Amino acid sequence: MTRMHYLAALTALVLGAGSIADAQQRDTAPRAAAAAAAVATYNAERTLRVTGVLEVAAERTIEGDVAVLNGPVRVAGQITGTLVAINSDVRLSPGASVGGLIVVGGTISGRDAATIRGDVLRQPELLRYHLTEERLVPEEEPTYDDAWWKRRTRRRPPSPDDRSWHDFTFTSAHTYNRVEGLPLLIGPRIHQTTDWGRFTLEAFGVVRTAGPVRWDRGTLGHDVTSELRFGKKLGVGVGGRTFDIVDAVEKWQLNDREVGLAAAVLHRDFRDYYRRHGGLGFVKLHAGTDADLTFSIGNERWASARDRDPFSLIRGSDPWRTNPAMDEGTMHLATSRLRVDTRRRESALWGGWYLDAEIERGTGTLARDPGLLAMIPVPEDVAYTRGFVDARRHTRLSPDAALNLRFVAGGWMSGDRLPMQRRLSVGGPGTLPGYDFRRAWRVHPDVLTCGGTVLPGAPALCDRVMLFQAEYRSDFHVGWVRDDARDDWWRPGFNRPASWVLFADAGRGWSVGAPDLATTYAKDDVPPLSSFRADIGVGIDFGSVGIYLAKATTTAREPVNVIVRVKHPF
Amino acid sequence: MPRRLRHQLLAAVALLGTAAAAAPAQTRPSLAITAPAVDQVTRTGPVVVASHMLSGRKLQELLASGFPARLHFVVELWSVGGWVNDLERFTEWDVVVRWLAVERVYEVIQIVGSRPFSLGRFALLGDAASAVARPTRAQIVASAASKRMYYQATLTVETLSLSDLDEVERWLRGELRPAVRGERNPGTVVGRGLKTLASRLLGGERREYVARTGVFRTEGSR
Repeated sequence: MTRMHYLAALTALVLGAGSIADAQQRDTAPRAAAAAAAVATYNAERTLRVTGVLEVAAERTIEGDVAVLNGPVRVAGQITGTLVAINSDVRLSPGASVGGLIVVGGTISGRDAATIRGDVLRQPELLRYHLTEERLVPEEEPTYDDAWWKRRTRRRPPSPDDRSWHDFTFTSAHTYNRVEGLPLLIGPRIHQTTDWGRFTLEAFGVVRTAGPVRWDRGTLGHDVTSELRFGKKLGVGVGGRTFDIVDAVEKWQLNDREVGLAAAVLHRDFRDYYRRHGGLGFVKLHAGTDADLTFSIGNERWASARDRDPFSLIRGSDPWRTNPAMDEGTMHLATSRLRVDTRRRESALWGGWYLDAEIERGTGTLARDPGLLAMIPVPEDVAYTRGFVDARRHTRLSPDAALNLRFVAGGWMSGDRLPMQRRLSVGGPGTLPGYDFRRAWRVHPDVLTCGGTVLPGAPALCDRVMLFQAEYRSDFHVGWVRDDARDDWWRPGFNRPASWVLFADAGRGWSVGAPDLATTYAKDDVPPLSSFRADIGVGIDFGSVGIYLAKATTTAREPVNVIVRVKHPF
Repeated sequence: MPRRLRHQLLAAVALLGTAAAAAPAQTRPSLAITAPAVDQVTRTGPVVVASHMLSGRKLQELLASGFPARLHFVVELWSVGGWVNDLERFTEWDVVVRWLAVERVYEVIQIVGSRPFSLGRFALLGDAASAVARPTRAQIVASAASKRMYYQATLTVETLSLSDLDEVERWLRGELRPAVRGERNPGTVVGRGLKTLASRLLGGERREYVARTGVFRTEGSR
């Protein structure tokens, strides 16, 4: 290092931290001084600059200053000037000699056996920088601004949405069910970002693998969605979708992954399905990835979907639960949907709100399923309005503890009776885990499916449901199982802190009509809380898999249920 | 056996046992977070060091097979309350390590926000591990309000799947990189994917490390 650089560095040291008496003090000098000296030396004209490994053999002598980026540096010979190592470790061999030493973001080893004629400056933390025409420019550390609206942008992880890309994809739909088996999606995806927004197109052909596989609509379908979005963080999108798909009746209880695993492994399908064929147009107001409000208008044909016989790992020879018959006909749907999610964070939940609210107005002609009646259904005009709200609050009480609350309410709001596709139910692992899914015969009156269990497939028949859920979870370490030293990665679930969980749920469904004060209530009434079914439970969540015990508290005959979940309950 | 000799033998065995236990600890992955000095807590953030994170055989095999390792750091600043602690601030960044087969080097990239920053390319895995272990100062400082606070660092180490890799490459290069490319044998790719599928399903390839500072008070520290 030249005298000028030393002067600059020492001046900074003196101004920043007072006098420095000895080498040990210089080692712990303010990091800004070490970094400043390193940068000054690197940018000096006569400095020899190296990126990557530098090895100075025992017989070699380098005249002048040397600056190394990213290293490491191994010195057995001699450097007459100062050695600057930025984000590099320095290893000095016995007999090595350097004029001075500045290390930023690295360690020094072998110092005692080597000769360092000048000063030693060291900053342990790495230095972030960029190179501009070979000059090294330290990056300004960002000033932390915790205004809540900036937290959101900071929290959002880098996303491929930020860039343009396109591909031809071949993937599964990430679920599995008794109607489709494993649906496969094949087709192009285009994601084009521009200065004013972005254009997206996903054009998938759908292949359903459940037998019999034929060249017909039972096996083949399509799902094409395109959107033109104006604005980056805030803006509006306009798009359309055309589809011939098999859709689920109640998707709010469990996610696709858990439904798929349960069907593929346990031969239990926790959803009912129907066919949708049609198209829709939509306008979406969006506020980043946290919130959007979508208005859509569509026209589609609904039909029942028959269950097939896809493979399952356990009890594969048993019959599947019948996929219930649905109402069939043509519907015009106008839907408004608000989605707000302030919880999102890549590694863990920050705490925040989740809201999914939807109002749907449906008009059309439907042939309603007659149920157990022996009659041929006659198409009838139908007009209804249905609402649904799923609100959740996640609160972190400490780094290791969280309290999560959920409220769900939905169902008929006005007009004719809801189609089968829009009915609701509770009970099962996603809602009331103390009660078996669609096995409500021990519950009297049946406030879980509203009488659905007497029909083939036990469909949901409630016009309205209401559900409260609460859980408290606290982390604990299972270090006695984990063994980092032996590098045993095959300890599923034990490579992170586990959580013990306490939870409680209460909910019910009811029909709207002439009140019987059991399963049917007037349109303006809400059943008393005393009529709700409740359960409590405990569990251990290993992060990727959780095991829970749930016991119904309002129906003594219900046995304790053991539930395995691969996702947080909500 | 004389009592003295027996004691010496027991001591020797104990010493050996201690040494044997200590040996793997030297290369055991560890995460450390150090709060700044008391008079600096409102001016600078804590320093995080993740040591020996690439020392595992399984992780090394996955790296050599083309699966990048991703280290996701989260540093949180909490204030101590009576019943409930409050999360005041947090910051997060990534370090990605990958093996570049053509150049036969390990590349280490730190990603803060959306900006990648190279920590170097290394022929030796040990040098790459040293780059991963470079102390990084988290840019969150305590507020000057009178509060008792502490920092917590959480590090999640995982190997990336093919689709994750695809995403990282897209993001780093801004261009199309399908997961199964022409220059790779698709059968090999599928085989590798199946090999790790079960492990990934159950979270076996993800490790989490947690470190916490002691509680400090910010009163009068500005």
